[in-house]
Amino acid sequence: MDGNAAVPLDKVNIYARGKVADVTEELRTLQQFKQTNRKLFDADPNNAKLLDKLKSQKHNFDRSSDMARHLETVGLSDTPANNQMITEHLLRVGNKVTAENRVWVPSTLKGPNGNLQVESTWKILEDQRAYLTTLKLMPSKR
Amino acid sequence: MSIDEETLVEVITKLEDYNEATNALTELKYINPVRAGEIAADVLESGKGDSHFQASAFEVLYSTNQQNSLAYINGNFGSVNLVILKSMLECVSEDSPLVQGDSDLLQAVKRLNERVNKLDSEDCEKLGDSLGWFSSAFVNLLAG
Repeated sequence: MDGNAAVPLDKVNIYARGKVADVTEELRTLQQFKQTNRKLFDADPNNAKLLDKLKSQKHNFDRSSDMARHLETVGLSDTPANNQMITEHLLRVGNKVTAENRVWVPSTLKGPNGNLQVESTWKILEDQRAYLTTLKLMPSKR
Repeated sequence: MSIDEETLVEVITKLEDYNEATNALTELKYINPVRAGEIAADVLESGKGDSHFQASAFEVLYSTNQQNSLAYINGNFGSVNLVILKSMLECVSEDSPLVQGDSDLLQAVKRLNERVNKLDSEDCEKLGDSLGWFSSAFVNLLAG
């Protein structure tokens, strides 16, 4: 790679910060509709599809919230400066990515109160640049 | 077997993006529910992906092969992490009106209640209102 990796800003500023759509209330309302009015719920197949979609969105929200919590725990609160630092960390990682090692690339993100284990997955674009597709943040085991 | 189905399976098995894989597994359910259930069972048994992906796999298994999902509850109720436990509680709560006529579901609910009764306050808090919903959905059943 030639140092031109790309990190979508939303991956850091939105996804890693727990700011994806929270569908908790809408999901629970539909779940309880299924529980209490099963015949009516089953009469429209779109209800089951919507329920599946909301459950999927809820898992994504929970995953995003977990990452936000981990960042706060190591002292990397949601500020423009911290988000810029995280983005720059990811760019450094992305600049070393190749087609052979692009999946779940490990790195360590250092915060004032501790470290986080990072695993990032990258797509190699046609111009050979690495583009961040997935991000995982986990408490450091040490 | 359609190309779309194979594309979905590839997204699930590659597991490069948990959110995409979750959506693909849900989508596969509508194209080939048997295969979706088999893959979901494999995700759970092999511990693939993160706990949120495994929880969504449980939900797919529950809706495609309820017998297998209830067997999974009975075999793993004491050890699954809280994220998967939460999905288990919600799936059976949705079906609470059916429990009286379904002995397998009833047994799974009792097993889940055993686990719930052993949780500490911190874990109860993490389950949020899913725990309250489960308790109220089966209040008459579990009181006896």
